[in-house]
Amino acid sequence: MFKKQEADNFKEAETIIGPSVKVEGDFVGQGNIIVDGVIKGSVTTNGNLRVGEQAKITAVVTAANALISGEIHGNVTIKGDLELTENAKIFGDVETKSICVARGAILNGKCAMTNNEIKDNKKQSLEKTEPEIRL
Amino acid sequence: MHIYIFDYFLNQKSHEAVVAKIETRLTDLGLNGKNCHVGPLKSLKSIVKEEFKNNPKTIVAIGNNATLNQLINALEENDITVGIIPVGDNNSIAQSFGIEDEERACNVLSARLVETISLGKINEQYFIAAAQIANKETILEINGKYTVEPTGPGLTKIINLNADASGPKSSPQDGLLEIVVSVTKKGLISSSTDVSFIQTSRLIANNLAHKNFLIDNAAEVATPAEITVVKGGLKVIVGKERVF
Repeated sequence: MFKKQEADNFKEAETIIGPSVKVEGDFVGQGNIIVDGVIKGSVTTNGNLRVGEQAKITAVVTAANALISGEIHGNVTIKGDLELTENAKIFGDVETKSICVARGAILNGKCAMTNNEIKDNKKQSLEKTEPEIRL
Repeated sequence: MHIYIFDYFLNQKSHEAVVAKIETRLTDLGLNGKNCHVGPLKSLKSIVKEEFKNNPKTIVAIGNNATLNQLINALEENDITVGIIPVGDNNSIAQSFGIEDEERACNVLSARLVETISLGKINEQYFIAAAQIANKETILEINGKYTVEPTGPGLTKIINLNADASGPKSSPQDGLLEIVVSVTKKGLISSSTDVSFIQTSRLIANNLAHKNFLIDNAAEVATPAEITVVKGGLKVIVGKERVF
């Protein structure tokens, strides 16, 4: 679906967790992240996340867009697009704006589709219509 | 005024001709200043301390990475511009500044293109290029938030300026350090290397096997070590072919 776009996004990954590295704790990144190793704790980024086939993540995951080919034990929140390849395994709840699941992917958990932009717009319009209270 | 500090190894007879060539070239370019030679009873640090009294504008290290590392650590927090004239081996920092050899270095000094760069700081020592340590028993704590542990043999490098052309890009002006963890995997026929790459401005590194960090391929620093980046820590004269 958005493989080409994802490939372009990951050309300039700011963080790469290789297969021979173990990360524990609250991992926070500002840019694109590629994970091929082991992470325990939480993963948060404003950029895109790519989880490789060898990756094992036991964490709460939050990212702008994500391409998952590895294993995730924990809840996944994606603001934009989420793609699960045939090797992807997610054991946790997923919240995303759009999703693409390949045949063979495992998703064990609730999947909620949210539109953050619509939510934001509604919130803004509600805020505007609220009457002003003057004393 | 320029202060030229010639490293100890340049006192050897084999370097006599190079030293004479440099001195002649500097005079030709009108860059002559005070020449100081490191000797058995005169360390680079003591020379720098003595010359501070004369309020020098520029101090030029003549030697290699180790000379430059000693110089930046002797400067403390004085606002002095630094130059390098590379002689011999182990001159990767000068090369990344766009200075290939001693002759070009004199021309670069003459052109005086000054850039401000960040310095890496490991405990109380400064480094320009990188601090490296063996992976075995090494644990990195990044920004106090998470830990990174290599799971195989190899090398962990904390890079401020990447002097190695084959490695990842690293600017000494972005105020960040690049952590590169290389793990070597030996196969039956060939071996491969896994590379991890993380950017940060602060980390604490510990080595349970009590191995030391090697900074700028010149000096050793004991662990545990706090590594930070000092933004705009050094003004340096660079060539047009610099890598940043």
